[in-house]
Parts: sequence; C-alpha cells; structure tokens
Amino acid sequence: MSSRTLLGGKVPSSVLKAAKDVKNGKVSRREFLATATALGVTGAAAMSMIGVKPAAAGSHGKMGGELRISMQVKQMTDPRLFDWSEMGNTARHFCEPLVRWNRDFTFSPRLLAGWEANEDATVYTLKLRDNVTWNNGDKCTAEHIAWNLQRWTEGDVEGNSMAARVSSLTKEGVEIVDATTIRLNLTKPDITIIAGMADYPGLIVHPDFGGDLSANPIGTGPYNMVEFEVEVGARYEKRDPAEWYGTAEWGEVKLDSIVYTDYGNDPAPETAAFESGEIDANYETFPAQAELMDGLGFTRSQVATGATIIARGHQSEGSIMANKNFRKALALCVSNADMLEVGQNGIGSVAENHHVGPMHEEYVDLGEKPTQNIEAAKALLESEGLAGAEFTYSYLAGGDYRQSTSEAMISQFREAGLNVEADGRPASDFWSNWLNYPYSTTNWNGRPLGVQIYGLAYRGGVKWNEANYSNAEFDALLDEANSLADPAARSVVMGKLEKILQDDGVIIQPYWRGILCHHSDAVHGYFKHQANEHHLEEVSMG
Amino acid sequence: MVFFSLLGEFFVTLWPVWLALLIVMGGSYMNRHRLGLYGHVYDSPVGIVGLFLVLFWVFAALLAGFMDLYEPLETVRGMKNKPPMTVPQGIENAQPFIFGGDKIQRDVFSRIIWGTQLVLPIAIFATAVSFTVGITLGLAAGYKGGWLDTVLSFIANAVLSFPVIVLFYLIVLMGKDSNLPIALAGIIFLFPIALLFFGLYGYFGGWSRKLLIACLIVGPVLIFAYLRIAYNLPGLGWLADWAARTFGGGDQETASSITIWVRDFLRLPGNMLNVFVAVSFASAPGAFRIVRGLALDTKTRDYVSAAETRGENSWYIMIFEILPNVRGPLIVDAALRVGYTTILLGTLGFLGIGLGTESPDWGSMINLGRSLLRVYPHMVLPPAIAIMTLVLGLNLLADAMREQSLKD
Amino acid sequence: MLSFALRRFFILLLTLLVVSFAVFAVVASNERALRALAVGELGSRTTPEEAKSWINREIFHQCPKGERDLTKCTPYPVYERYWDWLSGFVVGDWGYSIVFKKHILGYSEFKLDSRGEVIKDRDGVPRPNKDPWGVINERLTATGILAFWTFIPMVFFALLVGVIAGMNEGSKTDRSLSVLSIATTSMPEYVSGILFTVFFATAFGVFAWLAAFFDLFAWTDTWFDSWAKRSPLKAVSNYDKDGTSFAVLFLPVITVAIYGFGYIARMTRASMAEVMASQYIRTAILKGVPRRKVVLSHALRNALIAPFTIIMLQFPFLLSGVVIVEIIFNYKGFGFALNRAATNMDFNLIVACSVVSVIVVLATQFISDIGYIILNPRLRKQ
Repeated sequence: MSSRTLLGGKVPSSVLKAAKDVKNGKVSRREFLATATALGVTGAAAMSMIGVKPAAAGSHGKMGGELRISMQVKQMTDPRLFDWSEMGNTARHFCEPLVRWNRDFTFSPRLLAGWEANEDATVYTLKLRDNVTWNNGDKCTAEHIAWNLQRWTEGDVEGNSMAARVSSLTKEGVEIVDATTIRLNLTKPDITIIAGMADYPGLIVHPDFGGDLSANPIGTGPYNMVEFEVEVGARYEKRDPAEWYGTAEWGEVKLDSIVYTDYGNDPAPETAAFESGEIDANYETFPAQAELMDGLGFTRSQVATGATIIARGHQSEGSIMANKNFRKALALCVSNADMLEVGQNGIGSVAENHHVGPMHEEYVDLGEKPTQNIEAAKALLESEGLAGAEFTYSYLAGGDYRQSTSEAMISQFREAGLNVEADGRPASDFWSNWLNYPYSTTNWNGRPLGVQIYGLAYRGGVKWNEANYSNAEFDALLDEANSLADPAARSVVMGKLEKILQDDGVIIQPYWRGILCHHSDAVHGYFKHQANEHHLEEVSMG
Repeated sequence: MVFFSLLGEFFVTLWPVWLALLIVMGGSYMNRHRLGLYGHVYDSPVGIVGLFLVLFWVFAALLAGFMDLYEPLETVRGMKNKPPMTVPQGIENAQPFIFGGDKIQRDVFSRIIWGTQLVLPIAIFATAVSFTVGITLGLAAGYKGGWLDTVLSFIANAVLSFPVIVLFYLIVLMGKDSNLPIALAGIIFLFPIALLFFGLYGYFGGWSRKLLIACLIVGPVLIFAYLRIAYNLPGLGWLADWAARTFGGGDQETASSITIWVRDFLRLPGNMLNVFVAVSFASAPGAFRIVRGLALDTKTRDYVSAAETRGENSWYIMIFEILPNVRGPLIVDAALRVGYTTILLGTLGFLGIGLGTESPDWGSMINLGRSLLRVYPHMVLPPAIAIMTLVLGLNLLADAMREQSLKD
Repeated sequence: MLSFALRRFFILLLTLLVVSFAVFAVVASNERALRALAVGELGSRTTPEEAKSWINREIFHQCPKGERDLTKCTPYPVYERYWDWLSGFVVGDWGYSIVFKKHILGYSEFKLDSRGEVIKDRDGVPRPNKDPWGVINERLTATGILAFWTFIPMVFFALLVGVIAGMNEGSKTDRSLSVLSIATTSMPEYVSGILFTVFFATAFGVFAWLAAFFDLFAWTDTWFDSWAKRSPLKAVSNYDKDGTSFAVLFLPVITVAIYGFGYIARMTRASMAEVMASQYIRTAILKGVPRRKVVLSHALRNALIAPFTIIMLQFPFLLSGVVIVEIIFNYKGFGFALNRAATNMDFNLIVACSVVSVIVVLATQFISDIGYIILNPRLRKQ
C-alpha cells in the first residue's frame, strides 16, 4: 500500500483517528468509508485501514449485447438544472461526473484523478486526468472543468440546484493551478463538497453544449447518445473504447448499446413489457408490485437508502404550525410503523422524525423512538386550546407511496379529532407551490452525509427549507458540524442537532424507503443504486 | 367458496335496499295501469330491469345510513390491499371487507355505497341545471330563430367541438386559483332563475302587478341561494354566531355544530363547485341542441299558431305550449343525460382532477386503484361495475320509455 | 352547394378563432398554469420566487437570446402573444412544445430550439434532426392508425347487428341485439378498458388460461402458444416501439370500438326498420321477390344513408374517447399528447390540440352533410 490517498499525499489525521474509532466500535464501517473517501483516501486504502478486504475488481461478463431498461425519459437540458435522478441517468452514459458515489457508499474519482483536502476542509486540491477527450474530439482541459465548477455556483440561475450543493464555493474560489490541477478555496469549512459533486446534477458538460444536452450530447463517457425523445425513449451506442479514458483505468465497457423506454408512471405497462421480453430491467419497482415481479421470475435488487418522505408544517408566523406543541401533538398522532406498512408494504425501515438515519455516518441513535399516542396528542391539543383544529394537508396524488402515506397519516390525524382537509394534487400542480403549503408531504432523495441534508433543508432561510424552520442554535451547531471532518467528533454535535429537530417537532418522518428494481436472468451486474444512479460499465448480457 | 360467502354478505348488508325495492317496485307493478308513463315502464322487461338498476343505486344512496358499513374514510389497520371477504383482525364482531381493502386500508364496498351519495346528486342536479340552460336557450333559439339562433347554435357547436378533456383541465384544475369557474357558475346558475322568471312572465302575460308580487316573494330566496352557491356569498358569520348563541343552549359542542351547519348551508364544499360547473357546462350544449330541434319541429303545429293568433306572448307559448308537448322526448333524453353526466363525472375522477383523491366517488376510486389493476382487480372492478350498471339502468329505462311512448 | 361549402368553411375559421382565443385568454395569464409551466421548465424543486422571475422573463417579456436582464427586454402582453401565435399558425408554424421538447407541426430537417431557430454547433453547422416530424404529425398518425383499425370492426359489426335487428323488428333477435347495443353504450372507455384488461390480460384472464392449457400439451414453440402468452399482455404497450402489431392494438381497439358500436347499431336498426316498413319493400315482398334479394338489393342501399352520417359523426367522439384509452393503455397518440399537454400546461400544444380537434369535428360534420345530400336521391335533385 504505497499511496494511501488518491494523490499520494498524507492521510488526514482525522481519518486515522476515525479508523481507530471504527475498531473500538464508536463509528460504523460505512460511516468511516464515506468520510475517508470524501477526503481523498482511496477506497482500497480506507478498507484496509479498518481491516476489510476490497471486493475483487473487474467482472468477467460477456462482451456485447443490448440492455433495454424501462425508465421515464424526462427532458434533458442542463445537468445543473436536473431535478430527477432519471435525468441524471439519461445523461450519465455520455456525460460523466467528477466523482462517483459508489454502491458500497464510498466515493471514487471519475473525471478527476484524485483529490485532497487540507486539515480543516477549507481547501481542496483536485487533480485532473490528462487523457480525457470529449466525444466531439476536443481535449478536456482544466479550463473546461473550472468553467463547470464556476457555473455551479451561479445561485441566481433559476433551478440551479448545484448552487446549494456547493454553497461554500464562489466563482473566485476556483483556481487553476496548472493544466491538471484545480484548487478550490472555500469560504468556510465544508466536508460535503465532494459528496455534492457526486450528486446527479454534477455531470460535467462541454462549454459549447449550448444549454440543451439533448440537442448537443457532448460528453466524455463511454457511450454516445444516438436517439432521445422525451417521454418516449433514448438509445446509446458504445463509443470507440480507445477514445474513452476509462478503458485503460477500468477496462472496456461490456454492452454495445443501452436503450431506455418510457412506459409512463403506471407500473402495469412496464410489467407487461417485462413479461413479453421487451425489456431486461427496470429503473424502479414500486413496493406494491415487488411480490408480483418476484413471482414472475425476475431478480430483485434492493437497497436500504436515505430516500424518505417528510411531512412538515409551514411555520409561517401566526399559523398553528408555528406552535411547537401543536407540531409535537401531530407527531404523537402518527404511528411511523403503520406508515411504513401502508406506504411501502414494509420495505424500508422506521425513521425517527429527524431526517438522519443509520445510513449516515454521523447518525446518533437518540434511544427514544417516536411512538403513537393518540390520547397524549389529544391532551396536548386540549391544553393548547387547539382541539379539533382545522388545516389543509397537501400532497402529491400520483397513486404511489406519497399518496398512500399522506392519506393514512391524515386518517391518524383525524383519529385525534383534528379537522384535516385532504388536498391531493396532480404532479405539475403540486410542485408549483411545494414550499408554501400549510402542511404537506414531500419526498427527499438520499444524500451521503447527514450534514448535507440539514444544510439543504433545515438551515434558516435556505431555499429548500420547506418547513420555514429557523433556529439560531441549530444553525450554529450545524456550522460547527460542517467543520468537523472526524465522524466521531461530528456525531456528538449531530446528536444535538437531531434532538433539536425532533423536540421542535419540525417534521414527521415516518420511514426510510427501501428501493428496489428488477432485472431478468440474462442481465449480470445490474443493481439498484442507493441514489437511483445507473452505473452500467460493468453490466453485461450473460 | 369465497364467492358464495361474498354474495351472501352482499345481500345481507344491503337489506334496506332490497326491502325498499320490494315495496316500491312491487307496489308500482300492482298499480302500473294507474301510473301513466312511469307505470308503462313496467310493461316491458327491459324497463323493469332498467328501473331495478336505477332504483337500486337510488335506494343505496338514500338508505346508506341504515346499513352496517364502514365510514368512507375509515382506515382499518392491516387491511391494505386485502382480498374480498377479509375480516379485520383485532376488532370485535368486525364486518368483513366484502370487496376487500384498498391501498389506504379502506373498505371498498362501503366506499362504493357512500359514493352514491356523491355521484347521484351531482349527476342529477348537474343534468337539471344543464337542462334549464338547454331549455331556456333552446326554446328561444328554436322558436324565435334568426340571429339569436345563429349565435347560440354557433356557441353550442364550438363548445361541442372542443375536446372535453381540455375543457375539464381548464375549468377544474386551473380553476382552483382563477375566477373562471365562478364566472361560469354565475352564468349557469342564472338559468334556473331565468327560466322561472320567464315562466312567471309568460304566465302573467307580461309585466303586471301580479308578476311583481310573485317576483318579490320568490326573488330574494332564489337570489340568496344563487349568490350562496355560485359566489359562495360571504358574510354569514354573524348569522352563524347568532344561531349558535340562540340555539346552542350553552353547550359548546352543539354551538359549534350549529355554527358549521349555518356556515356551510347551501355551500358546495372544496372542489365540488368546479366539478359541478365543468360537468354542467360540458353537458348543456347537448341539451340545447335537443330542445332547439324539438322547438323547431313543434313551432309549426296548429296549437302554436292558435296561441299566436290569440296574441299570447312568446314566453307563454314557449313554456306553456311547446314545452309540455315535447316532454316525452325530453324525459327520455333526461334519463340518458343523467347517465352521460355520470360518465363525465367518472372521467374527471379517472383523470385525478375530480372531487378529490380521498373522495369515494367512483371515478376517483378507479383512478386510485388503476395502477394495481393487474395485481388487485378487486379495488377497481367494483366501482367500474357500479358506473356501468347505473348508466346501463338509465339507458334501458330511457329505451323502455321511448318504446312505450311510441306505442301511445 | 358551393355557397354551402363556403359558409361551412367560414364557420370553421370563426370557430377556430374563437376557440383558440378562448384558450389563450384562459391559460395565458392564469397563475396556476404559468407556475406549472415554470415548474415543468425549471424542475420540480423550483421555489416560487424562481418561478416568478422565470415567468416574468420568459412569458411576459421578450428578451434577446441568453439575456437575463429584464431592462433589456421588451414587455410581451397577451394580445401580442396571441397575434404572434395566430400569424405563425396561419403559415404552419405552430410553435414549440415544452413537454415534448420539439416543434409541434411539420417536418424539420434540423433541430429547432424553443424559439424556432435552428440549433447550430460551434462551426455553424446545423444539427441534423433524427426525429424530424412534429408532435402533432407523429401523434395524430398513431391515433389515425388506432382509429382506422377501430373503425373497421366497429362499423362492420354495428351495421351487421343493426341490419339484422332492423330486418326482424320486434322479434326476439331484435330485442336481444338492442339490449346488447344499449349495454355497450353504457360502458365508458375507462370502464370497458378495465374490464377488458382484467378479462384478457391479467393472471385471471382468458389468455393466461389459454396459455396454461397449451402448456399442458407442451406445445412450447408453436406460434399460438407464444401469441397467447404474449400478445394480450403486450397490448398495454407503446406505439413508438412496437409499430402497429395486433398485440399492441388489440385492447385499445376493442375498448374504443365497443362504446361507439352500440350507437351506430341502433341508428342502423332504426333506419332499416323504417325502410322495411316502407311501401315499395312491402310491395316487392308481396310480389314474391325472395326476402334475401329484397334486403340486399333494395332495402340496404336506402337504409345505410342515415348510418353513414352517424358514422362520420363518430370521428370527433373518437378523438376525445381516445384520450382515456391512450392513458389506460399508454398508447402514445394524440390523446396521450393532449393529456400530457394539459397536465403540464404546455400552452402551445394545448392550443394546437384544441384546434386540431375542432378541425376534425367540423370537417367530419361537413363531410357527413355533403354525403347525406349526395347519397339521398331526393335531396340531390333539389
């Protein structure tokens, strides 16, 4: 083990300390791997530090063949505007990220050769590869990467969700050191920035792509996009392996072509397509369909995720949702286990109303779990003079877990005598106002780090703070957590944050979703990724 | 076996409906010769079957309160997607879920029955409103002709040639934030009042003191109801408070229920006004066409000319000469149109823009269970069959009435 | 005749004008619609402020390409938008669909952006378009295929049933055929679609049983086995990939056909019964001409005039009926496009679909009227 970080530098002391904590049980293995790799330690090195043998690399699948996947094909304009994992998937085969979040919860470099962080995570050094070429023949230069990093920081561009993910970065903070080195000078300590880059909107585009990737599919990946029609399908064909930098690094990709077909969001046509052999794999199987698909003889791939559903009141001044005890009473009405059963057919795990869970490295088990107690809820409402209070509960009525969970929750609210008006809305209608409903449920994708989620959704005044939650103490603690690279130290702060969120009754978070997909026997190496990403380089047909 | 116990449970639970059907249909059959057009329906087997199906749903709506049902929004733990005839666990003497449970753990059978209380009134009243629109404008267009006819027919054709789905999206979905449905409601609900006024106007032979007195008597009530329904007239808070104080008797609970009752009196809740307007608006041009055609046909008859020579005013001729003489085809069309309105209402529910996702109306139930159709058909088949049987009943009834009126 | 045609054409134009203006008036400034549009464009996690600024810039102003500063843009009021749309509409430029990310009407050799300008790469070479046909062209073709295959069995069986029932008016056959046609008109598409899916395409369905039955004899590789196993299931699939196989069309076709069938059958029956009761048919029968010959050579011709007009009038109904059917079976035709446009408030496409629908309705009405005049000898002479 000659080089222990990706760039051959020194392993940060916090990582070494954390490795010790793993051995004496303070930090879980998964937590350790995520942080260590996010700070630039190689996956193999991180694993060896805690005595885990890395899985044998490279598979020996057959070359060639076509993989046909059922997935909704949404529009594909500018990656930084992506708001659905499906969009990331349609682009990822030709447009690659700097860093990839792997199936085993580690981070590994893609377009980067590696990265390193300084001790307090304020300066990151990104090392670029020198053999990357775009599929239009251009060489991928440091200027291209820097241009991408800078456009992520443009917070005033509507819909640019990368801005929140790299909030510690400014345009001026991106510094080109030499042809293969970029230095990021952050405005504050930030351990989440690598994880943010690995998210699906963080795909690297060519400066000439013109704002519409579907019209100009320029990228660096192993496939070329040959067909793309929104709501219908997309098709990719293998690029000359010699042109793709990754062939030398990871080996040639197996599949000749990849096809996405859009069967709408109703699972019935997709199931039919499976049965008739029109498709080999799907993007996601709804929990209600899981057993049916198993029964039809398809292979299930399931993963526990940080994807979840959040019910929150909008704490606008003067509304009942601004009353902490009212919110706590709401939480008392709900049995999270029931929600898991109704919403997910039990696929997943019960959550604890603070949006951080065992899949996050800094999670602390608070011990006491939220439990349903209708009588206590009634008593609390009575004492606040809010018995029988009225409010409107908005949710996305698309016939999936969101609708089931919301309606089941409404029914439990009603058991406590609350007058809830159910306001189910079609998708376009729901999202057009999602931050402002008095009470609503929203689904959230999983993110590698708990601090990322808190920074995105619960910090006072941030864009996606749908609960309109503002707590100075919480914000201060969050800043502190963000500067702690050592997971064990961070956990202490995180425990406080979790407690605050739970005690304030900000959200009801009934469960963590288990997500799953199916594929036929002919497909090898296809799996459900915890963030719904398709990594198909290793996948083969037979 | 499940099938037979299901049938058994189905018959037992619906006992009030069977009893009512027995009394009404049996009684009517005995006296069918004294009952006019209604009695004639009993002369044909088709008519009896049609009437049976229609009355079945009508009595289900009226007598739902007497049956041993779950509440329409009641969820029972552990009953998600359960097949028909599953008995809930952990409750003593629990009724089985006759048609099984839906995604949200609710009883499909009970929801179907409660759903009649939404589907039938909306279908019937929306048809009635669209008929008043059709009659008022259709009579005028058919009888008076000229530019009025040209303009009205043009508008009716334009609405009819417009895709009904887009119409629904425009009115119901976008209407939540705009004044469009309220504006349409304002127009549509004006017609029942207008028809009544023209009726009085014709009856009293134009402007007279009697007409004025009649208007003063009926007017305020109608205008109140109109403003209340169409514009959701605000300002009843003081009345609600007063009623609660006066009749509440000091009891907090009674007082609050009185407040709510007064506050919501004659007010269409939630999305219902939008749905009502959309359905009536889509159905009105058809009614207009029918009435216009009948008026055109009838206006050359002798009794119309006779009335004209007598110097009756034209509203009198339209409402008291033409209308009674075309009542046969109109009644037949009304039966068909209630069926059509039911279908439209179901379409709204199916598209997910109807009365609300929780609502037990049949279209919404179909929409809710549709994605699981291939796995759990028990959630979708019952509401689908309910719509089918109600519409079939109405169509058979209409057919029988047409046959019988042709015989006369 | 010519003046009749001209008058109809004028009415068509007027209706188009009124309908398109009505849609514009309702949608163009509706807050909810515009927000939905912004969300569709910017993504579901858009904040209301972002949506607002996007709407203000993209809808209420006209900006030079890539310009984000509102002061450099000119206001773009609704009536100007309508006028621009109308002048584009007349020359066949129906705008750009936000949902489908392509132009709405016509053939375009090169890729177009949302402003209708050709997208060029950095050397100024226009990007070739792999998908050159507009949304309406593609979707209407798909629906045309569905409509064609629906009409053939629907009209055939409806006429057959109607003629048989009308020939034997009052008989038991007549009664039962009447009830049958009434029953079919009582099933809206979303009901019959569900019934057929359950009946044919679920594990409880006919084809599943058939497949199981043939498995019993181990006829594994026969065409029928694979057909029985697969085709009805495939029927819930999508047009673009499968073309127009029997398997794709089977369920949508019977679902649409069943609703229209009853109406045509009843009209044919009435018309046939009337003809059979007429003087010349009675005379022919009394003269001893064989009944079959009377029906085939005399009665049928006259009896089919009325159904012809009814059949033509089924087209518009079909156009709205297919929306539901295409949603149920995920058939990507006109109704599918219309539904996607309406749910996402894809403004240009909503107007385009409404206009197409109006044209189809009024054109078929016109053909029906002309046909009635031509077919009916008495009217022709006038």
